[in-house]
Amino acid sequence: MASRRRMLLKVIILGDSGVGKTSLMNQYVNKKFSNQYKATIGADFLTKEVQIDDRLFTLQIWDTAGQERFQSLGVAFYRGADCCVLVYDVNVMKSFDHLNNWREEFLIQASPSDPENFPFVVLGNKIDVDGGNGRVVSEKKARAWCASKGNIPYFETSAKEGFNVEAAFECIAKNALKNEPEEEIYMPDTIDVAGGGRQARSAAGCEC
Amino acid sequence: MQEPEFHDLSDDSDYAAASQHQSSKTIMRSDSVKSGVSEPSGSEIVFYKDNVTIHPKQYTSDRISGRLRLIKQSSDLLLSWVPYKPSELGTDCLGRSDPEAADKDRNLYTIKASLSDVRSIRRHTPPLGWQYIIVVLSSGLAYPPLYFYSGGVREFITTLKQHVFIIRSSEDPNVFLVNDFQDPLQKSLSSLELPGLASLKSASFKNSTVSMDNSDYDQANGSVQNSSRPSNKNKQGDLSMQVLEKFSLVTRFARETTSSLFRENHGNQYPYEKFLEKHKSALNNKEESKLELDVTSQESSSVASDVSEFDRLPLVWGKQRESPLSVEEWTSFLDNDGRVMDSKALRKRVFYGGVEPELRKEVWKFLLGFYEYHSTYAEREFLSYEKEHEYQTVKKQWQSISSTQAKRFTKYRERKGLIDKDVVRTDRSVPYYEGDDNRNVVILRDILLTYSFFNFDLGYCQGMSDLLSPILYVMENESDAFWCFVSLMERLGPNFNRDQSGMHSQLLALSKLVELLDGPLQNYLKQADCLNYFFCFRWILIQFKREFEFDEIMRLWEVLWTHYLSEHFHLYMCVAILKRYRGRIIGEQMDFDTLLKFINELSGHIDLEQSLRDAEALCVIGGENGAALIPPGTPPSLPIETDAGLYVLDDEPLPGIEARGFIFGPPIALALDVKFVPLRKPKKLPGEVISEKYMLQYGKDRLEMHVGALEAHEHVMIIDDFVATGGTLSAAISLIKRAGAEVVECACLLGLPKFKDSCKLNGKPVHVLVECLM
Ligand SMILES: Nc1nc2c(ncn2[C@@H]2O[C@H](COP(=O)(O)OP(=O)(O)OP(=O)(O)O)[C@@H](O)[C@H]2O)c(=O)[nH]1
Ligand SMILES: [Mg+2]
Repeated sequence: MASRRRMLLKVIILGDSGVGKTSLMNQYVNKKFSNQYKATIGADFLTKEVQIDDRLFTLQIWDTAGQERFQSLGVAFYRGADCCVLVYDVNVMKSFDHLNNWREEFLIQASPSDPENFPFVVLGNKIDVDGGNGRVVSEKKARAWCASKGNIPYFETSAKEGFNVEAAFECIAKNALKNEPEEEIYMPDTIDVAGGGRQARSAAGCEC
Repeated sequence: MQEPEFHDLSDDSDYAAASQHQSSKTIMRSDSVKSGVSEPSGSEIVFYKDNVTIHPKQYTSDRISGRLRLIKQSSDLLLSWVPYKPSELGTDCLGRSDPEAADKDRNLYTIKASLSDVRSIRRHTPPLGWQYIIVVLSSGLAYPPLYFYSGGVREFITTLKQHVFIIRSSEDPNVFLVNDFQDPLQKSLSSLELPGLASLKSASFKNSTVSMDNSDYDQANGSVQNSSRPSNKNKQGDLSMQVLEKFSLVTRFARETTSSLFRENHGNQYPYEKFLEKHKSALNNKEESKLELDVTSQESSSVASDVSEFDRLPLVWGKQRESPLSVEEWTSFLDNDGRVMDSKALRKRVFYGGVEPELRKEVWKFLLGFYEYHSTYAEREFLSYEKEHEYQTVKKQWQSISSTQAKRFTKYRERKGLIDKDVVRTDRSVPYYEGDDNRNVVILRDILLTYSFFNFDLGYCQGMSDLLSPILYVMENESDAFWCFVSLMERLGPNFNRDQSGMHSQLLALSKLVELLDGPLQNYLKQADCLNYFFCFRWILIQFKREFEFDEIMRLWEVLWTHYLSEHFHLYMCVAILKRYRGRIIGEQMDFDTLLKFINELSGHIDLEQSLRDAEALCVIGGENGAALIPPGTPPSLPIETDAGLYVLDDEPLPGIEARGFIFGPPIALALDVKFVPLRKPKKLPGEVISEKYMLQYGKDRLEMHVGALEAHEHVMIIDDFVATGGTLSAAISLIKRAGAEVVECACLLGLPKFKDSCKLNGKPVHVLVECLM
């Protein structure tokens, strides 16, 4: 049980309503896009097996509702996250402006042990719209913001076309893994201290 | 996902816990024996169970324990239950000093019946307390519930199956029909719970090759189809006749037990129960010698903890769902002018059966509160007309925003953007909203945008489009849909509060209800750290919209909206569904994540009718205790009036309505030493007036009041002589409101019965001194 738990990487996707969180998750996990996803109410997650450096992990991807009114629910879902994905819509300025709120809100609610180094990944979604003509947030601007927040990895994606989605999530998984302390990864079945992996992790607190 | 098990709620392990409550002294050897114990008379005991108990008086202190046996006697199977003799327990278990009285009781309550006289056995597996069965005889009489203190109901049924022909009722999986040979071929074979299913399939029903230990059947000239056994299902008339026929045979025992059984009965399970209920007074007239039974102090104290729950259990079960309200029936609820004569009866009817789809357009408007029950056809037509106008006015507010204006109106742009994104994601697989450039999607958007102007503070919130979509589908009219949505949001608005207070209060209430109604589940959730109940968030926020198919959700909503058994019936729905899956939740040791996923994936797999019945039963079981756990103001209850200023001060004016209101108003005003304000017919008052038009039974009328007669923020009570439809009074309320003052209540000398018990008109209480029948 404990060793199985350790193989689980928990990822939270945040961002304004309608930026395409649900679509991105489904594109990555199920390789499909549908116009008929419903607005997310509450929260849900999908899982996917990923292989990183010859090891198998279960990526648990949490999709939450985007409307800020539902943010107070966050606490319950953010707990124990290994990586947080911030999504905005390159065609909607506000959704980009809000990235900072989402990031701060997450850090407050999830209260990770090392907030300075907690891994985020930013995705600028819907780059397919109008062949890029409706775009209001430039790539340069987005990258500058990411750089200012401790070099957050940045991807431009289209959930609709499936563009760059795989690459983005690969990076997300790797970053989530970085958040895991090393000894647990390389000695999975030998140090099964009573109390389980998660507590041991914050105590061990290794930096990668 | 695995198809969940729907039918079997019974889990004997639950009851192991219950039986531990009892002191060891009262626990008898509870092993049951399936065969082999022979009796001198050549009969064979195929099953026995100790600590099977009846509660003859509905009071938990009155209990008689005994041994239940199934005895095979030649081709007959006998059911026997004999109370323990005091000596059998070493001590007098009934704690009585009078051995004669004890013997009398023993004889009175002893059960001996041939299974051939049994029609059905109903199994109950209540959330708290013990499992019990109710044995119903072909005569329509029933024995009192037999509680299995040491478990074993399932075993009992299994043993029965081996000896008599039993099938599960298609209507209720907990009812086992005994000797029910009606159209066996029509019943799906899967519902036949026979030991030799295969042999039955091949057996020709024309001859008597189906072997069963049932003499009654054998005698019925050997043919199942020709069985002359009275078809005692579904036919109220026949049943009543039967009950009448057998009435003379009612034993003293049966009289006593049935009358106590049905005393608190809601009278709705079997037609004959209704019949008996009618006659219960007759039954009770025969003064029975009161039995004062006692139990040992140990027993009464050991069960005291679940007494309150347990007490009510014997008489409750989810009622059979009815067919939807039909058009003819609906018209029978209306008087000549179209008023709903008995709104409570209507709500009850809808609660138990829903309404036919073509009636929804009409009935939903009442359920939601857009139409008042006592309005007439004409008044409603007028209302719709006026409201259409009002809708257009609000709609114009955003329609007239130019694009340059919109550029500097961020809030509007954001709202519109959010709504635009959501409507295209709402029920698009339903034909009504399907396809590109769907007109109805645009209407959905317009209504939501208009609502966000109508209620600018609440604005638009995700989930609202889900709530509106079925309403628009039903109404097929933009303005009507809007006003129905407005009414619904009066109740559900707090779900969307920015601070989520409405949701939190409901989740908290849910947690308390589960604690009351399903202790083991609550304990598990506590231990698994899931007590925030966030996994039910979606259920509650949008009233299960995402959990059921489109046509099912309309059925569920109309039931919820009746507010019949409880305003918070949706919370009992939550408990019912959770309880159904409790076995899996606990069995699979789900943690928070797994549970959330599990609940999300139940979407589309929940049995609606079953859940409604479970919820109803839970609601009845919970009773006042349940209701008390839900704090006032929990949505969809209207918020508690915090407007402390809303009472009439002793120096505030008294408006009265022409003409006879002028007879009663002025003397009261004089007595109170306050100003009287006349509300008059058109063109009577000199000087400047404000007026309010309204519909009468025959045509229109108008009420007028002097401008300045009332100061803004004065709180007044309106006086009139007589209230029939409430039309004039409503107009008076609106008029005074428009003048800036507030009506606190209305008082009339006379009123139709529907105005009894502080009925509300436009949300204002109406007090009637004398109720009159017309
Ligand atoms: N053209 C285009 N449309 C997209 C893309 N991703 C999502 N959409 C559309 O944008 C809308 C919103 O997508 P969702 O994935 O439901 O958005 P979300 O972020 O999950 O929204 P919430 O659940 O409300 O928080 C839908 O109509 C999608 O079809 C994209 O990459 N390109
Ligand atoms: Mg979503």
